[in-house]
Amino acid sequence: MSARRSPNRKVQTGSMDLTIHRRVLKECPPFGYVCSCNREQYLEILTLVRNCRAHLPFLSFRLLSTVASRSHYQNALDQTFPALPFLPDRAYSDFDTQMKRIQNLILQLSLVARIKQIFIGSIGQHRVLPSDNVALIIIANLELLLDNVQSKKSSLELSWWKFLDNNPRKAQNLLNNLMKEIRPCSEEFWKNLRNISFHDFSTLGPGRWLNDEIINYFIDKWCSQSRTTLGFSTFFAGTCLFEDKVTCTVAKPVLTAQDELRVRRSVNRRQQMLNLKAWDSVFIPIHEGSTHWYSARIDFRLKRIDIYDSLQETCIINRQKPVSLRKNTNLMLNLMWLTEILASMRGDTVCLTNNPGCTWICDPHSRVPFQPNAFDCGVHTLWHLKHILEYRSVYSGGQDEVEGFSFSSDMVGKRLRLAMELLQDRKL
Amino acid sequence: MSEEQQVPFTSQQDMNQQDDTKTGDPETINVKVVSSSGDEVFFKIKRTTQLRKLLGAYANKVGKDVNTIRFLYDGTRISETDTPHSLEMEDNDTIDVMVEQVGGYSS
Repeated sequence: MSARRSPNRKVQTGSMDLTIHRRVLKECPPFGYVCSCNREQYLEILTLVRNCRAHLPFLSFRLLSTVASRSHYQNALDQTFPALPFLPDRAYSDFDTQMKRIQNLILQLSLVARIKQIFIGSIGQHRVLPSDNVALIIIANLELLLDNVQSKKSSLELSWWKFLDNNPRKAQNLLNNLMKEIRPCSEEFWKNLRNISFHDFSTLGPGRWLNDEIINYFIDKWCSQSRTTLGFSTFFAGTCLFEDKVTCTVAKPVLTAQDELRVRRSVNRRQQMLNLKAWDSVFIPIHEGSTHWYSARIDFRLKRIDIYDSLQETCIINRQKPVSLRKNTNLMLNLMWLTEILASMRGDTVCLTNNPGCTWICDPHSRVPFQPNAFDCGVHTLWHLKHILEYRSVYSGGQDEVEGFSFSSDMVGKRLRLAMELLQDRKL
Repeated sequence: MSEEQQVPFTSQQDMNQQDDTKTGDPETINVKVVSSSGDEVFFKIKRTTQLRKLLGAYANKVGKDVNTIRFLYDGTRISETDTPHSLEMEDNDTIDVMVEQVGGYSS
């Protein structure tokens, strides 16, 4: 503001005075005259548009400099990236080609945020030129375009996921090929992924049993992105809730002040690690008897504790038993104890013991989709978390209700998805 | 089943000052490493030493590849560059050792 009032200012309307508060106007076609202070951003915009035009031939300076609405670029984008027919023999290569183009475009377009920030800062310092207005419209349009391309990416992903769910054999072939392709890669290949090696990655292969590194990788990643769910590591349940930390079969019969201290320290460390300040739900993976994965969830908003197990026998048989004889009853008691501690750490009071007025629902054998095989429980456990993060509880509904996220009888499509997500993260 | 072990990488000077550390040298702490079966090994380590060295020494001692075991402090994985100082470890704290977990079905 002080610069504007400066007596040295030489802005003259009428005659074309080439200095605007001591800054020189320069020509920058097709924008016309621009202020030298932000000429660099103009050039960046032009480069950005040029790079995008390589992917989107319809993009012209004229199109970008007219005010547009959100759906403005929809049709043009649909023509450039047509819906894929997903022919079985070339589904992956079609998907991969289109996805790479879209990702490249998103990478280019996301530069606009930084350009915008600098540009807006600069026009606050001089009197706005007509070219500045044009540039602002172009920036807004590029942002709209980015938005459109991102939804294009989501819908492409969604149709790919549906294809995988509907064609498990195809997904299995692709996953096998992927494993073969990645196997010879050196250790260097994995250096961007914390704690993951080919050995861990290969447990995502068809019919394999998932290991702790894979489960922990996705819990850490998804929960730190969620901002709502505190996901524990696969080692937490063993150390804090069970008598034997390796087998996790018998829930601790006695919980001491020292156990409480251990929980508090684990929670503090975990919050720090996931960078979560406020959470209202907790996810606990459980590794049972060295052979099985299942999970527990505490939700402070829904006031629920659920234990999710993809084994049909465990769920059906135990639901018919009296509560005191159900497999997970003692574990549920420990989870109730844990809930009280976690509540006090959240600055809340929850009293579940000897409290007849309590409105919490505790289900030791929640109904979830079952695994019809002897290898998918790890994928189910990760998918429980996926549903918790997407829908707040595990949803066993059909494909239409949970588009792209529904459980399938063979989870091989999800395995391929997880494997591809990991390989994608490796490049970040 | 517990034994005291000098971490081989602590400097000669530290070993000479062993008596001082027993009486509470603020620069060194005692750390207990507990395996999944409950076996304990004790280490004395400088607060500023990267735990990678302790983990390597432990793996060596129990005859395992360091990449196949997981070291946890307060339930969270220790990374190679962590130090007792960065993790705010206290004297006589415990590091838990766990082995790979795999699962597919309940037997």
